[in-house]
Order: sequence, then C-alpha cells, then structure tokens
Amino acid sequence: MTDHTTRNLCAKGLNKRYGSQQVLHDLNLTIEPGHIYGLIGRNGAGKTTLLSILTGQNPLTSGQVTYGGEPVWENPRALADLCFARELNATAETAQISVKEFLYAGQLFCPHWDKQFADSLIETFGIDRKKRIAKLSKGQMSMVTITAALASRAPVTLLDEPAAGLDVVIREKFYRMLLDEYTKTGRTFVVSTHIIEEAASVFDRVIILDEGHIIADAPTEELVDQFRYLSGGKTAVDAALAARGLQPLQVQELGPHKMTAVRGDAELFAALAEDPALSLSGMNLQNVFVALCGHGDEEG
Amino acid sequence: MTRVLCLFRNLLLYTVVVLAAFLAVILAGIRLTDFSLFETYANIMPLFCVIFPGMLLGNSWANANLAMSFGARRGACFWSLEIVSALITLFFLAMSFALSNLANSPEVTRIELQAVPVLAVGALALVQVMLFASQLPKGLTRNLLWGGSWCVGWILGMAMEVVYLFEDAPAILRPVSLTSPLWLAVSVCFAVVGLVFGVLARRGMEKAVVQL
Repeated sequence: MTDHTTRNLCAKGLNKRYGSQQVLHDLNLTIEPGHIYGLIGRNGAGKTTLLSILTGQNPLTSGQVTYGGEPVWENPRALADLCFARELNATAETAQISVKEFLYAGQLFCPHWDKQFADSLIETFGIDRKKRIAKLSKGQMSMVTITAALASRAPVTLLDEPAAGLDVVIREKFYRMLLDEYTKTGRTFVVSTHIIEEAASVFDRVIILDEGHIIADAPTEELVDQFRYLSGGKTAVDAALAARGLQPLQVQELGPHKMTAVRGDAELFAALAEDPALSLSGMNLQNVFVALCGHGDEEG
Repeated sequence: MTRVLCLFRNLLLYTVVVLAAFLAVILAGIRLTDFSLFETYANIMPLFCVIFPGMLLGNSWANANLAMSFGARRGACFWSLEIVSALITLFFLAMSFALSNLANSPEVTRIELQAVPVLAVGALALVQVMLFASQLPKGLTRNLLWGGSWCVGWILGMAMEVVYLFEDAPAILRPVSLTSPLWLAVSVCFAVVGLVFGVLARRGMEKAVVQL
C-alpha cells in the first residue's frame, strides 16, 4: 500500500466569503482515499469554490484544509498529490494556448503525469493537439479536461463538471474510463456534476451541497435508501405525516391526490407501507437531490 | 521554480530570437544601406527597452494561472515571473547597448554604459505595474494602468532620446546617469513605483483565485 492511499483530504470549519457574500458556511468534510465521490448541488451552491479551496487554488476566509494532516496551502508535498481539473473557458486568456501546451503544463507540474496515457486519450477523443483551446467546442474542452484529470494520475483528482457539453455517447465513455482507472489504480475521485442520475451509478459516495452547506455526505445507496415517495389521498397523507411528525420534502398535489417525499428509516417505511390508504415508492438520487435542494422551485 | 521557468521558456525563446533577428536586420541595414529608417529604429531602442519587457510580461498572468491550476506554488510563480522579466529586460538592454555601439554611424546615438541602470530601473518598474495590472479583471483600472505605463515609458524613453540626439539639450538632462541629480530622482521615483506595484503584484497573486 502506497502512502497516498492512506491520506485523507479534510476541510474543517471552512468558510468562504466573496465580499459581502458568504459562499461556504462552516463546512466540515473528509475525502477518504479509494472512493469516487459525487459532489452535487444547484447552480451557485459553491461546488467549484469548494473544489478550488480543497486544492489550494482559492484562498479560504477561515478554517483549514489539510491533506494527510498537512496544510494544503502552498505545500508542494500536498499539491503534488492533488489535481483539480476544471471547466475550461473559451474567453479566458489561458484559452489562447494550444492543447499541446496545456498538456505540457500538466506534464511539467504533475509528478505522477502519464504522458503516454495523455497521448492515447487525446487520440481516442480525436482532438487536434495544435488547436488553440479557444477554438475547441465546449465538448472538446471537456475532453481536454478529462484527459488532464486522468493522465495526471494524481492520488486525489477533483473534476468540475467534466461531462459539460459532452454528448451521451462520450459521457458513457467517460464514465467507463473513470471506473476503469479507479479499478486499476484505486485513485480517489471527486466529480461535480449536474447530470445526476446518469452519473449516480459511478459514485460510491455522494456529497450534496446546498447554499454553501453540506446537507448530505453518505454512501450513495445508503442515502437513496433514506427516502421514499409517499402518495395517496390528501387527507391520508397529511394524517400520516402529522402522526409521525414527518417533514414533507417535496409536495405535489393533483385534485384529491397528494404525493410527497419523506426521509426515514426501514422501520418507518415498513409502518407506512402497512397503511392501505398510502402508497410508497422508491426514489433515485436525482429525486433525492430535488427533494433536498428544490426549496419549492421544482413545483414551477 | 525550475518547472515554472520551463513554462516561460517559449516567451524567453521567442523574445531572444525575434529581438536578435530584428537587431541583426537593423545593424545590416545601417551598415549596408543608405536608408535612414534603420538609424531611426536604432535610435528608438532605449524606448523599446523601457516599454517592451512590460508589454511582453503583460500576458504572463495567464501562464501563471495555468501553472497554479496544475499545482505550482504561488510564490514560485511570482519569483519565476520576476526572474523572467529581469532576463528579458537584461537582454533588451544588452542588445540595445551592443547595437548602438556596433552601428558605427554618426546618425545613431551611442548609449553609454552609465545610462543602462536608468533604463533598467524604468523597465523593471513598468514590468511590476504590468504584473499587477494583468491580475486585474478587464476594465477601467486595468486599462488606465496599461495606458499610464505606456505613456510613462514613452516619456522616459523619449527624454533620453532628446538628450542623445540634441546637443543643445538642457544641461540638467546630462549625463543620463545615476550620478546626475535629475536622473537619480527619476530613477528613485521609478524604483518606488516598481516596489509598490511589485508588492501589490505579490499580494494579488497570494490572494488570487486561479482561473482558466
């Protein structure tokens, strides 16, 4: 077992403020080695900010970020093991460099960089190395990001929206590549995405970020298993909620019929299932996310 | 730091090749032809020495961001940029000095060795302003700093040209050297500006959010 497979990436009491806007609120998080984490949250939830702070690319307002017990900030030992592959921006000044120059920078600074792997990925994606990043399509930019992330061979690799702009075929290919790399190397991945259900089968743990707070951090199956849709007549549903002191998370009403998402355990769900006036159905990760982070917006 | 310097090798290489080729053409033109255009270019080299290092480093923030996005330390990026700017400035000065002395033409003013520190201080000060300005978002402040640096660089370069080209230039302007009170004062002003913007650039880099 190599050293990096035992190191945790930790955030303690993490706060981030941009001017008067508090983006992250007192976050505590531990990224354990050997997992694929899904980081999900709505637009503006603070995902990119969190990932950039975890990799020392954004100064925090207060709190601390450590890797293997050492601070990450300006620490070459920690930075060498971390890779943050972010979305590329066609309008940025950096986008004027070629794909070849971009990957050369990766090769220079990532001590675990696998040039052969990078070359084969670029070949697989069919990207012209001489092309400037600004001239690439959104999907091709994501392919370059994915190439940098995978070829970095960094023990802890964080990807920000790697599937943005990719068609469904390439997305599937990416998930296979990611799983293949994970199986071969046991590297830790943190993947932020909005395409939740498609990626859900890849994540073995999920972190949900909502308005700068971590509201869930658990194994994917365990988290999904805590939620059910409860439906039935409006009166029966309301009575069941009131009797058990349940908080309806997402409510939809159609005439006398009502459906709501509820959080609980196996015992609660077994008890609710015994009521013939009620019906229980399972939820997927996307449903759970909407129930936790919808804040009523999903009702239109 | 070596790795960050490697990332800037293209900038250094292009500067050396392009400037050396440019000066070779100027030198050949002066020596082999009668066109006064070549002498004109040779005479404005002090101006280029002050302005161009800063202009060339103006886009360096993008490279620094690239390095930091792959895990380079901010401190290493800053000091690498300082080394690169010093090397570029030194190269500009050396080539200008060599050109003015090798031209062997009465129409080309000879840059004296004692003028080199004055030029170096001006050039390095403007580099610091550019390093700071390049970190700012596109907008009025950045444009003002760019425009202001360009103008100040022109004024310094042209003032030296006036001294060299016109023998009846005011005595207070002679010689262009740190031993002259006027040029010493000018150099001190540039040095203070350079120091202030150098500190601002370092602090800016320390606080910056890496962006690609």
